[in-house]
Amino acid sequence: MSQKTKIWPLSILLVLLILFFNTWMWDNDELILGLPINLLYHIGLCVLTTLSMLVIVRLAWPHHLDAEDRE
Amino acid sequence: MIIAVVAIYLGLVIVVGTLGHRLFRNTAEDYFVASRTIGPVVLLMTLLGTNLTAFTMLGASGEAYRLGIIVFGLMGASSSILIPFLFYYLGTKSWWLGKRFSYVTQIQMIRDRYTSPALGTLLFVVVVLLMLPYILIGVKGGGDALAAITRGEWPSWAGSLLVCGVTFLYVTYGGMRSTAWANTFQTTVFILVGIVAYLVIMDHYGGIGEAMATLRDTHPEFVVFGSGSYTVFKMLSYLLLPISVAAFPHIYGHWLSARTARSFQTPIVFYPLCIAAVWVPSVTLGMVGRIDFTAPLSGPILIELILAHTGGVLAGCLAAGVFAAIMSSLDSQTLALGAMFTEDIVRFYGFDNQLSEKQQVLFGRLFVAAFLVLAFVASLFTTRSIFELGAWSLTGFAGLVPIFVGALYWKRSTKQGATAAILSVIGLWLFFYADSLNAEGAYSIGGTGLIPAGIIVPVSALILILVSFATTPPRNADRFF
Repeated sequence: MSQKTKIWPLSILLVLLILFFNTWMWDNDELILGLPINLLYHIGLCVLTTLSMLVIVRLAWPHHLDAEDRE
Repeated sequence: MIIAVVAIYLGLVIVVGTLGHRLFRNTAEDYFVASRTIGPVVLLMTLLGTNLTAFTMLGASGEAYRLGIIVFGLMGASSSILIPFLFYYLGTKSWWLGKRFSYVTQIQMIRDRYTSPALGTLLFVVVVLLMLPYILIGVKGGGDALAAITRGEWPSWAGSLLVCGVTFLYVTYGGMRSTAWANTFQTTVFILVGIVAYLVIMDHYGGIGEAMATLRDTHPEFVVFGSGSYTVFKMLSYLLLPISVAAFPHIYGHWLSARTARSFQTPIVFYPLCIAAVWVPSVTLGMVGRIDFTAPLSGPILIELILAHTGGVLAGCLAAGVFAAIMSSLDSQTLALGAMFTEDIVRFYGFDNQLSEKQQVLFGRLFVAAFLVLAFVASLFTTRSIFELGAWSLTGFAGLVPIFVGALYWKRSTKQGATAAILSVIGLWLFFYADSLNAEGAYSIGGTGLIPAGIIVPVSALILILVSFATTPPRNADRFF
């Protein structure tokens, strides 16, 4: 297997983990759309992770793993 | 009514599960990894179902009842971020190696990768010991949940027996394909049950906005995370628990069952949304329980809410949902252990790798049956303290993850490094567990908020690196990269 799985998606993981620590609003008790703002923020993070993974599977998919299977 | 709903649900599970047998090929590869034919949607649902346990339905709402909204950040959001990356990096590569070298267990891969039977056996022992309490939690949890929902009308042992009996039927009959199909059905059920319970109960409180506004007035600390170094340490170290998924033998088995590497794309993309769909109802319902119910509770808060605010049909659906969450993990866990005992012990040591396909399937079935009987009998003598072992089980698995990362992505890692890392996990796990007994079971080091996984995982990785550099590079590792 000459090709390698890409490393750059790890930088997206790093960004998501930094966003995970939303310390600036941990004491904020505001309700938005009926939900605590911190809960809404973390739900948004789940959506952002899905979008990020969509980009990763489009741009950094390890095609070589399936290529060998077709040989 | 509750029992009727549960009976209908269990009947459907058996039907779906046994349908998988129609495609059964009577080979070990088919029994343990469905001949590597599982497509993307079933793979997503079965990975989700395997990973989510009764804890997600009952435990998470219970923790949210105790701690508030932070539970979603600690356990839900952290999983949704990390697990897709584990599927992407470790799942696809494990699948590729499994297909290439016909592996059906992770022990086979580690033995081959490091050319060390002893290392494989050491890992086997650690994995099996970590799995046992995890299995027992499910069996005991099923019994306790049914007893709580029926207000003691049905004893705990009856629920445990049902969980083990139904799982026995479809896992021994159809193996991995039946397991994956039944899991897909069961995962759908417990997601739907969670959403319906959420809508019905929130309606009783005038909607989520009304309920949260009331909660903010009565329990303001529940709608914030709370600042301070304790919260930071806690959030940081809880990030290490979801990575344990990468070392679970039952998740590894599902990875190997994928049809192609591309089959992983659907689970990788949609897993975070599924996590949110399961965790948000569970956590918010637990929090809302604070409005009407004061501690100590007589049973899990979700069950209290449903019995107080809904009719018997939804209570029956909840029982079915709890059974779904439990059995969709229990089936994969017992199948994975059956595969490991058959392939890594009986076939490897007893028959020098010479065992016919039919004999392997027979041994697999016997081991699955034996584990379910063992789990049921053990559940009769188990106290609730076993539930505390759940987090410790995950801690041990998380500590093993650096060994799998090294095996798959670091050619320079050696068997001595991997062995030393496993020994460090054993040593630190025992130390922290003994320490927690002195601190009345506290799962936090010195009250800092830092959990043991926060030490065990980095130390395991560091030891793997240091010992690998200090020992001779492995030969013949190229075929794995």
